Amino acid sequence: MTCKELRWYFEDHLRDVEVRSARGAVAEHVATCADCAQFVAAQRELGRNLRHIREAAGQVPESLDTSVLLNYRRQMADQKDPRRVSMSGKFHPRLLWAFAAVAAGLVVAAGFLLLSRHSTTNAVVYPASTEAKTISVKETPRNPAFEVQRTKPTRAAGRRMRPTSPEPAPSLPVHAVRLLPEGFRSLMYCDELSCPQDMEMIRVQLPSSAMPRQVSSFIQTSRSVTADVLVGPDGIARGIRFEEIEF
Amino acid sequence: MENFDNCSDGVLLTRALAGEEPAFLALYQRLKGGIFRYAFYMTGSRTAAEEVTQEVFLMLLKEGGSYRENRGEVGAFAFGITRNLVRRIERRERAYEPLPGDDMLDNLAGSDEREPLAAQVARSQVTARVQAAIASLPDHYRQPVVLCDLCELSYEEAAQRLRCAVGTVRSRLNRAHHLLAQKLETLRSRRPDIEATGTEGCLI
Repeated sequence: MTCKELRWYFEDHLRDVEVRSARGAVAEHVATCADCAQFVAAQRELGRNLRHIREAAGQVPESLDTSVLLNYRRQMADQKDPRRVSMSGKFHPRLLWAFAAVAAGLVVAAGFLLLSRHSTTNAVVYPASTEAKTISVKETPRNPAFEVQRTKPTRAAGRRMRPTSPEPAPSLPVHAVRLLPEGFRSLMYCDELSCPQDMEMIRVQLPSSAMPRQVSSFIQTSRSVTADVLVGPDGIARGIRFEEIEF
Repeated sequence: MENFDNCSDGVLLTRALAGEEPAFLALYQRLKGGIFRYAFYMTGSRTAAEEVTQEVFLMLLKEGGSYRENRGEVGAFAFGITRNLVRRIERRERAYEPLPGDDMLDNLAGSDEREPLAAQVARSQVTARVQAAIASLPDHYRQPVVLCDLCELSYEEAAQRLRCAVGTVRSRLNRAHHLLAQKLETLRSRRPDIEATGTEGCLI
């Protein structure tokens, strides 16, 4: 036996190396070759150690047998009880795909809903509450400038657009401002929305100190002033007209 | 009780999944030794090996429906599950360092009572070092050592489990033996912590 043959031999017979290495051609070659003797000794030690490790594993503990059997019985009980299967069993792949599709549809629907609400808000000129107040105006016909323009959201409106500067709110038309009777000075902004009904005129007598500064400088010597005050239904004075100045 | 000696593992699995407990027990008796030993040799821990074995049979019950007999044996199917679980445990345990002496005490608990305690401890130390040497091998060398040398599978069976050629298993095993012999040579040059010299040696 050559050294190469001996090494090939040990590749296949490592497990029972102690038995085989002690006899026959291997023993003869080992007796004459120091390198192979060292190799065989190393292989013998390796085989011995591997056998020790094999023995260290021991037997499978009985507690494990019991646990596995209990697991089996529990699993079979789960399969027989459909309610428990639905809770503990795994989902079918098709069901998973269905759930995923439904979830995706919900997400898309929610996105469209949000975008459509956003686009509707942009299209309205005035908030919806404005329409109710406009209806309560008695004397004047409905002004188309106050009407809420409801437009259906289009696909273009639904698309995500680059944010742009907001459009300027349309200025209030001139005829919307309620005109006070001639000779009256406006004390407060008054239009058809804030002064929807007829106003009441009250004659009052005021001290000269209550006069506006430019007027009071003209009538410094006066003691009191008689004036007509236009009072709205909300009790707020909207206009004033000076009638008599007493010196 | 029905005799299942003539039934293949595939048939036993099918019948076990159908609810036949004796068939499941027969399959368990056939496979448990190999699975437990493989897990023990790979992890070096009996607790981990028990955990893996229990989990493998649970997975077999859950995933057994996907087994196809034409793809291979049930043993190979179970081995695939075992290997994945062992890898998972290795990843999990990588962050922890085992307490020294725990494994040695475990090994002593199952050792021969007639052997002197010092000799048992010394042998246990050597065994632990060889196990550490095996564990330090690259995975593609460690697997053939564990399967062929420790689990005592044939080259053909190991090749089937590892899904490679028989020649590959042989060459890897040969290379692994060389590496192990080198590592053991290094270990032999070191003095063990406790010599197998009996009580006097320990006292001195």
